[in-house]
Amino acid sequence: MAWLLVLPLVLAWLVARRLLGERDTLAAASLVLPLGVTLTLLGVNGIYRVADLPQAVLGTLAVLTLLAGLVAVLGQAPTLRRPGLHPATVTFLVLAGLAIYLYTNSQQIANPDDDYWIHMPLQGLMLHGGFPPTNPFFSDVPMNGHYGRNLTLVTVAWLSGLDLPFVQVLMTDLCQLATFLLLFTTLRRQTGSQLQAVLGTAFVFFGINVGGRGGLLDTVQNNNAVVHLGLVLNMHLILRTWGGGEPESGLAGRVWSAVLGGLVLGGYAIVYETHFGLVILATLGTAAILVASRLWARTGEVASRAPLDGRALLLTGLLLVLATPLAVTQGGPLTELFQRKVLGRGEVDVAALSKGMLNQAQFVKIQVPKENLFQIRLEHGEYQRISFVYRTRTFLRRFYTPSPGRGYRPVWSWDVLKIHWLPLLAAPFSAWVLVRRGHASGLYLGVFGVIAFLTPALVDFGPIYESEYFRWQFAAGLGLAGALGLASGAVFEDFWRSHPGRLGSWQAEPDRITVLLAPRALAVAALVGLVWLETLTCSHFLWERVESLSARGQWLRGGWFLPETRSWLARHTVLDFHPADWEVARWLEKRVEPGQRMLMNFREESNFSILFESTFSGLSGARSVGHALPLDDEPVGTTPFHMAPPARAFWNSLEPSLLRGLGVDWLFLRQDQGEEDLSLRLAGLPGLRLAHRTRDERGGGRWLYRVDLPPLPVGPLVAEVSPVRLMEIRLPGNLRNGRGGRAQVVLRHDGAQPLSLRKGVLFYETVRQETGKRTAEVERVLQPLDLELAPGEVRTLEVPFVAPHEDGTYALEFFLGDSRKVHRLAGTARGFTMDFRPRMRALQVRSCESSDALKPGRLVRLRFTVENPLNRDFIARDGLLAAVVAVRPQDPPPSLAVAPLAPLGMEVPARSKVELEVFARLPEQPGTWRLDLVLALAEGGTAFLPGVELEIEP
Amino acid sequence: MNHGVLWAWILAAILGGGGLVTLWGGTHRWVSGLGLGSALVLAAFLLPGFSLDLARLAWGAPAALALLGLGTLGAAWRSGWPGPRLASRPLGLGSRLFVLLLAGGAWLAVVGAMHLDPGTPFLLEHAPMASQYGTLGDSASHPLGGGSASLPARLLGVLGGDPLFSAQVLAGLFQVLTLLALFTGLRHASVHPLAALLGVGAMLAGTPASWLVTTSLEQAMTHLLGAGLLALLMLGSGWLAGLLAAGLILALAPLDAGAAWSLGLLAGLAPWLPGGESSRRQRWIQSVLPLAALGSALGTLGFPRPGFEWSWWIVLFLPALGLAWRRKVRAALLLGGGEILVALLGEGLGAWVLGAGCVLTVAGELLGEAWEKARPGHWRLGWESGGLRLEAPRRSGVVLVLLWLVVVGLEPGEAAMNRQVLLAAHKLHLGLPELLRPIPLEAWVESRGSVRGLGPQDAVLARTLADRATPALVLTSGIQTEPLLPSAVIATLARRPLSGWIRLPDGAELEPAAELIRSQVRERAPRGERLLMLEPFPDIQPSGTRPAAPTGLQARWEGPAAPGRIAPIHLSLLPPPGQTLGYRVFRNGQPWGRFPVEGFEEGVALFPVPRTPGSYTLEFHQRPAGDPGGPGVPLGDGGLEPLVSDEPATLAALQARVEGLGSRIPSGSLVPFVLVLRNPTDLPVDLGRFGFLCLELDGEEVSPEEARGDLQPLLTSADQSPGVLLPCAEVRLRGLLPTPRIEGRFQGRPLLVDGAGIRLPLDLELDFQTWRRLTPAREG
Repeated sequence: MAWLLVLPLVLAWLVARRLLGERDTLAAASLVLPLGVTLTLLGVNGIYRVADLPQAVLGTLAVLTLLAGLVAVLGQAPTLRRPGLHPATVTFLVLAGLAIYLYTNSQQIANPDDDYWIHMPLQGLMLHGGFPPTNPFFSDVPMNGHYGRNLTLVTVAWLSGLDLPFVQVLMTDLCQLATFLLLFTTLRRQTGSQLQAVLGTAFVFFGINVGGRGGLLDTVQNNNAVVHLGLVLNMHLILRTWGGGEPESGLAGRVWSAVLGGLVLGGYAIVYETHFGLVILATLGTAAILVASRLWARTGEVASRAPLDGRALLLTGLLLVLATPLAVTQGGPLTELFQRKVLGRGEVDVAALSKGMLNQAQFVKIQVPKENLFQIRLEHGEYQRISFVYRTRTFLRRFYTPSPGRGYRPVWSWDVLKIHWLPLLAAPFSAWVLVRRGHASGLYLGVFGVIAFLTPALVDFGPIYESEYFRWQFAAGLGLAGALGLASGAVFEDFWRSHPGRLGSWQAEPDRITVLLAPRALAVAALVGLVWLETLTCSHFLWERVESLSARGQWLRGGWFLPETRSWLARHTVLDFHPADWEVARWLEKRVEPGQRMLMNFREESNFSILFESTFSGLSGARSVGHALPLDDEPVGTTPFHMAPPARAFWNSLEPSLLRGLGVDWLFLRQDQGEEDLSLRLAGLPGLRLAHRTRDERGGGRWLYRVDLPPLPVGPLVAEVSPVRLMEIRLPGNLRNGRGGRAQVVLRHDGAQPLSLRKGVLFYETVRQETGKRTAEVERVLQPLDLELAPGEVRTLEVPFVAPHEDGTYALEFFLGDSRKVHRLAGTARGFTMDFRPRMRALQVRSCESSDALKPGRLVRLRFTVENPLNRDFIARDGLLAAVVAVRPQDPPPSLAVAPLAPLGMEVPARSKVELEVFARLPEQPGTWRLDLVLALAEGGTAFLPGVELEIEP
Repeated sequence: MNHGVLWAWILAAILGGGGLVTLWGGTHRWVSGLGLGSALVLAAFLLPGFSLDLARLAWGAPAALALLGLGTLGAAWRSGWPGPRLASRPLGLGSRLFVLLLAGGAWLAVVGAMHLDPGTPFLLEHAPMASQYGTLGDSASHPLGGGSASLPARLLGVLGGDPLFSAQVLAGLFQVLTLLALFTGLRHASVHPLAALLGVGAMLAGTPASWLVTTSLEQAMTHLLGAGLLALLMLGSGWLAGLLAAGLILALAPLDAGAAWSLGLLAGLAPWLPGGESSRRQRWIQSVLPLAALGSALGTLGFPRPGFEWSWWIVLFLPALGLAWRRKVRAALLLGGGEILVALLGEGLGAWVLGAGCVLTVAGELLGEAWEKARPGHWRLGWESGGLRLEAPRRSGVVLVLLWLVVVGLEPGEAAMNRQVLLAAHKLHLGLPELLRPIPLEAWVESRGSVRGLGPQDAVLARTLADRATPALVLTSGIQTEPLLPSAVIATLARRPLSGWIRLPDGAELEPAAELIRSQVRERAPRGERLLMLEPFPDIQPSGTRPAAPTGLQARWEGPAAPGRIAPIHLSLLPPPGQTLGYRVFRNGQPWGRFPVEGFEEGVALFPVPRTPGSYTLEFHQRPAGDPGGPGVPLGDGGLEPLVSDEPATLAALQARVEGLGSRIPSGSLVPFVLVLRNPTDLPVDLGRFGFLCLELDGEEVSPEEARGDLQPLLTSADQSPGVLLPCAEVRLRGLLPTPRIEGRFQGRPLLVDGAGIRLPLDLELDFQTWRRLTPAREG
C-alpha cells in the first residue's frame, strides 16, 4: 500500500496550485510534503480516536482523495512559471541541501535520539492500536504531551510496511530538506529577494548558535524535524494570509491560506504545544507591529512590507478562530487543559503528584507572572549554558568561560546572554532594520524569537518544566537568527543599490602592490564576515562529521545511505539489541493484540538500560511493564529504569500468581550463555506456555512465554475497618533499596462471624514519613489469596516484600480485599528505616597497603582496612562495586569516581574493622597520591571514603 | 693515540677538500666543509674490513684524508681558489643566525635526549664494548658486547674516554655536521641562500620524523652519512664523486639498510637528472660506482621496506617536484627523487624528510627570485575617493610568506623535540644548560639511572669492582630473571669484564654456575638489592683430554626441568672425603659456560635449566676440594638423559581459554575472569617468570592507554604465583578485564609479561560487548 502515500502529496500539490494560487514551481513543490504530512496527521488523529489504525489511515486517505477530486474539478490553477534563481542561489540550495541531508542522515545512523526511550515504544504501541497514547511503561498514565510526529511516522510505517526506525530516519531526512526548501521559498516569496531568502534560511539552518546547538542542521533529534516543518508551514500560511510578497496573492488565495492556516495551526497543537502558543503570540505580535508601522510610516513601497489592512486582520482572525477549537479537541495538552479548566472534566490534583509522575505524565503547572520575574532557572550541562561558538578554534575561545552552579539568573545577565550568539546580541539592530521597513517575514521571525526568549522569564512552568528553559532559548535563537539574516540581507541590498560600480581594482608595480577596495567590496567583506561568524558552530559540526566519516571509511554506509534497521540496531551497543531480539520482536509483532502487556527480565543498571525495552516494544507493539516511577531525587529526564516491586517480587520468587497483579500477557526472558537456570525454573509453571524460543549468536537464548492467567482486579479502598487485624509484621533483615525478600504477616480475625475471602488480594503500601509519599498503584505487589478465618483465629501469612528505592523512614500499611472493595488492616503499625546507603557512607578507611610494587599505570591489589563506627552491621555480600580513585593530596575531593569498578563483597560487623582487597589502577604519574575508596551499590548510591596517601614509584 | 686520531679527524673534517682537483687528467669539483669531510672520514672508519684490532692503523684513514684536504687546499690556493659556483648569492647575517639556531637545536635535541636516556643499545652494547676495548684493546671476547658489527661501539672504542660523554659529543657533532653538509650541498646547488636555509630547515624539523629528532649516536651517524651523500650528489662531478659516494653507501649499509637502498639508488640516478653538467662518460661512472657499491653490500642489506606515510606534505610535494623539474632546480629534484625512493624502499630514514626539503628548497628559490625582483617600498593604508586604498610593498609580502613557511615548515620537528626532550626534562626539573652539556656515564647512573632501574649504589659497586682483577658477578635479588642492563652498565663503569654471562645472538643469559649462585641468593636478600659477588667461581679450565673412566656414577633427573628453574639431579655417588663433585654443561655438544658447577649436598646436584633452546648434556667430574686450579677427574654423564629446553616453542604452544566472562559486561569496570592455560607439549615450562597479565584492547574509540593495557599481577585462583606448568597440565589464573569507559564491541588480547617487560601474546582473542555503566558520582 506504499503507493497510497502519494495521495496526500497529490492533494497538497493541488491545494498549493489551485487553492493558494501558487505560480512558482519551486514554491508550489516546497509546499507538497509539509501540507501532505499536516493534512494526513489531522485526519488520522481525528479518526483514530473512534476507530482503529487501518480505518483511520484509510479513512483519512479517502477523505483526502475526495478533497483532491473536488479541488481538481472546482479549482483553477494559474500558469506555472520557473523559479528563475540566480546560479549562486541554486549552488547554495544544492550544497546546503546536501549538507543537511548528509548531517541528518549520518547523525541518525550514528546515534539514536535523546528521547528514543519513550518515542520508540510510543510509536510501536500506536502502530498496534495503542491510541490515545498513554505512557509506554505505565499504561495508567496518559501522555499529555506532543505526539504528532509519532503518529505521522506510524501512519507512514503502516502504509509502507517499513519498520519504524527506518521510517523515522527517512522521514526526518525528508522533513529537514522540506523545511529548508519551504523556508527559502517563503522568505523569497515574501521579500522578493533571493539574497535575503538565502541569508535568512542559512542563518536559521546554520547560524542559531544557542548552547550546544548550531542551527536546524544539527537539531534533528526527537520531534524537532516535524516541529520545524510545521513551524515554517504555519509561518508561510500566515504571511500568505496577510498578502504582500511576490507574486502577490489574490483574495481567494488569501482566504484559502487563512482556512488552511487554521487547520494547520490547530493540528500543530499535537505536534508541539509550546510552539503552537508561540505561533499564535507571534502572529498577534507581528500583526500589531505591522499595523503600527503602517500607520506610522504610511508607505507600502517596500517589497517585503505586508499590506496589513482590515481585510488581512479579518482573515487572521478567521485563521485563529479555526485553529482554536481544533486545538482543544485534537487531544494533547491543550485538549486536556481545556477539558480540565473549561469543562471541569478529569480534574487532577497536580500538587499531589510526585515528581516522577509529573514527568511521566507531562503535567505542566503554570503560574503567570512567575515569582522570579524576568529570571530563568539555569541548570547544569554545558550544552545549555554557553554557546558552542565560544569553543570553536577561533579568537572567540578567549571568551569561553564555563558556567558553574545552577539557579535563577536575570535574562539580561551574561550567564543568560552567553547561551546565545549574534542573533540575540544583534537583535536591536535587526529590530531597527525590520521595523523601519515593516518587514513582515523578518518581524514574524523576530517576534517569535523575542516571545520565546521572554516566555520562561514570565511564566513559571512548575518543578519539572521550569528546568527545561533550553527549548525556549533555542526557539528564541531560531527566530532571531532568521530575523538577523533577513535584516542584514536587506541592509546589504540597500547599500549595494546605493553604491553602484566595481568592487575594486589592483595594480602591481615593482616595489608594491596597490589594491583599491570599493565600498561595495567592504560591504561584501562585512557580509562574508558576518556569515562566517554565524556559521562557525555548524561548520565545526559538519567538519567533525566529515572527519569522523573519513576516519572510519564509512562515507557511503555511514553518511549517505539509509541503514538497514536490523544491522543498525545491532551496531548500537547502547540498545543492547541483538539479531535474536529482532527475530523475537518480529515474531511477536505478528501475534500481539492491542493493549497486550509484557514483562521481561530487564536490566536496570542505568538510565540507558531501558533502551532495550524501548526498541523491543517499538518493534513488537507489546507494552513493557514492571517499572518503577523515577525517584524524587533523580534528575529531570531520568528514565523509569528501576524495577517496580511487583516485577521484582515475581523475578525473585517466580510465583506465577504475582503475574496476575501485573496483568501481563507475555513473559520475555533473555539469558546469556551459561545462565539458563531461570528458563529451567520457569518451565512447567502453571499459566505459562513457551510460545517461542530462539538462540543468539553468542549461545544465549530468548524465551517468550504466553501468560494465561486471569487478571487480579482490585476494588476501591473503603473507609470501613476490616475485621481482620494486623498483629505483627516480620520483615527480612538487612534491607536494601529495591531488593526483595519474604515478609511474614500475622493476622487475627477479630470479627464475630467467620471470614471467607475468595479470589481476594493482599497488598501493602509504604508511606514515607518525611514526604508522605505513598506507594504508587503500579508499584503495589498484589498477592492473590483465598482466606478462611474463624473468629479469633490467628494466621501467619508469608508475602513477598520489596524495600522502597528511596532512603527514609517508612510506615507499612497492609490492605486486604477483593475485586469489590479493599480494607486497610488495622492493628500494629510497622515502621522501618531504609538506611543502607547512609550506613555505607559512614564507613571509614583506616589504612591501605599493597604487596605489589606501586608503579604508574599498573593494576595492583590494595588492602584497605575499613571500620564500621556504627552499632549496626554492614553486610553487602553482592551488588556492591568498588573503585579506587587517586587524588593528589592538595586537590579537592573528587566528585566523580573516574576509575574502573570491580565487584566486592564485604561484611563489617558493628564497631569493628575488616580488611578488603580491592584492585586499583594506579595513576600514570608517580608521586604521592591519596587513594580514596569509592563504594557503589548496584541499586544506586555511592560512598566516597577518604583513603590514605601512598607513594607511587617512578 | 686515540686523541691523536680525534684531532686528525677534526683536521680532516675542517680541511676535507676544497676547490678544484685535477687528477689523472680530469678536473673535479670537490666540496669544502666540515660536514662532508666528516662524513667521508666516518665512512673510512666504518667501511667493511675495518677492525678495532687494526686500531694502530686507524689514524691512517683520517690522516690520509687530511693530507688530501691539505693538498687540495694548496692546489686551490695556487689556482686562485676557484671555489664554489659563483652564481650563488652571498649569505646575510640573518641567514647565518638561522643556521646557528638550527645547529643549536640539532645539538640540544640529541644531547638532551641522550641525557634523559641513552637508550638500550647504548647501555647494553655500545658502552660495554667501547669500555672493554678502551681497557683491553679487545672487544670480541666481551660477554656483554654486541660484536664487531656494532659500528657506534667501534667508533666509541677507538676514541676512548667516557662512553656516554663521547657518544653525546659525537652525536651532537654529527647532527651539527649533518646540518652543515646539507646546507653546503644545497647552498652550492641552488642560486638563492633562502633555498638552502628553508630546505635544510625542513629536513631537520619539517616533520615529526625529521632528523632533528634524533636520540642515538647510531641515528646521528646515519644522518651524517646520508647528508654527506646528498651533499656529494648535489655537488659532485667526475668519477671522484662517484667513488666517494660508493664509500658512503658501503658505510651506510650496515647502519641503515633503508637509507642505503634509497640513497644508493638515488646516487645511481642522480647523474641523469636535469641540471647536471658532467659529460656522458662521467655520468656513467658516477652512476655505476654507487650502484656497484650497493650491489656489493647486498649481503648485509636485507629486503627493503617502504617508508611511505600519509602527510599533508604530499599536497605541496607533487607541485613542487613538477616545478623543480621544469625549472631544473637540481637540489630539489634530488631531494624529491630521494623522497620517492624513501617512500618505496627507505623505511627508517624518516617519511617526508626529503620531501619537505624538496618543497621548501623550491619555495626558497622562488622567494629568492621574488625578493630580488622587488624593490623596497612602504605600507600605505588610506581612504580615497571610491574606496579603501592599500599599498603593500612586495618585499614585505615575501617576508610574510617566508615567515609563514618557517613557522609551518619547522613546527612539527620543533613540537616533537619539545615533547621528547624539553617537556620530559622539565618534568625532571632539568635545566637547559644541563641538557646542553654532555654527561659522563657514572654521573648519569647516579642522577638519572632510575629510569633504567639503576642508582648511585651501582656506581659504588662499579668503583669496588674496578679495583679487583678476579672474576665477579652482579646479581639483583628478588626478581625472576636477572636483568642484563645493570651488569652491562657496571662493567662499563668499572672498565672490567664481568663473568657469568653467555652472549647470544639476541641477548645474553647467565651461565649455569652463575644462575645457580643467583638461585641461592634470590630468596635471602631484599627485593631489588644489587649484589656484587667477587670470586664466585672456581676458575678451572676444562681439560677435555682425559676420557671418562668407568666410575659407577649414576645420575637421573628428579623433578621437572623447566627452563629458568633449578632441576634436581639424583647422584648415586658421593664424593670421597676431600673431593668435590661438579659438572660442566654442553649445549648441542658445545661447551655452555666458562665455569664448572660445583658444591652439591646429599647426593643431589642442581642444574639451572637454560632458557636458550637446545639439548643439554652434563659431564661430571671430581676433584680435590679447595684446589681451584686442578682440572679434576672426569666421571662422564652418569647415564643422565640429555635435557631438551625449548621455552619459546613451549610458550608459543600454550593453549588459553577464558571462563566466567559473560558476553555482555559493564563498561569502565574491572571484570573478573579465569584464564586457563594448558601446556600441550611434552616439555615443562616455567610460568613463574611472568609477573604480570595484560590485556591489550582493540575497538572503535579505544584510547591509547586502554589499547596498551595495564599490567596486573599474575596469580592463580589460589592467589599464588604460578610455577612450573607440567606437560599436558593446566593452570587457572585470576584475571581482570579493564573495560573501556565507552560502551561498544571490543576485542581483547591477553599477554603474559615478565619482569623485563617482554610480552608473550597468548593464542586467544576475547570478543566482548559492554553496556554503559555510569560513573559513580558523589551524592549530596
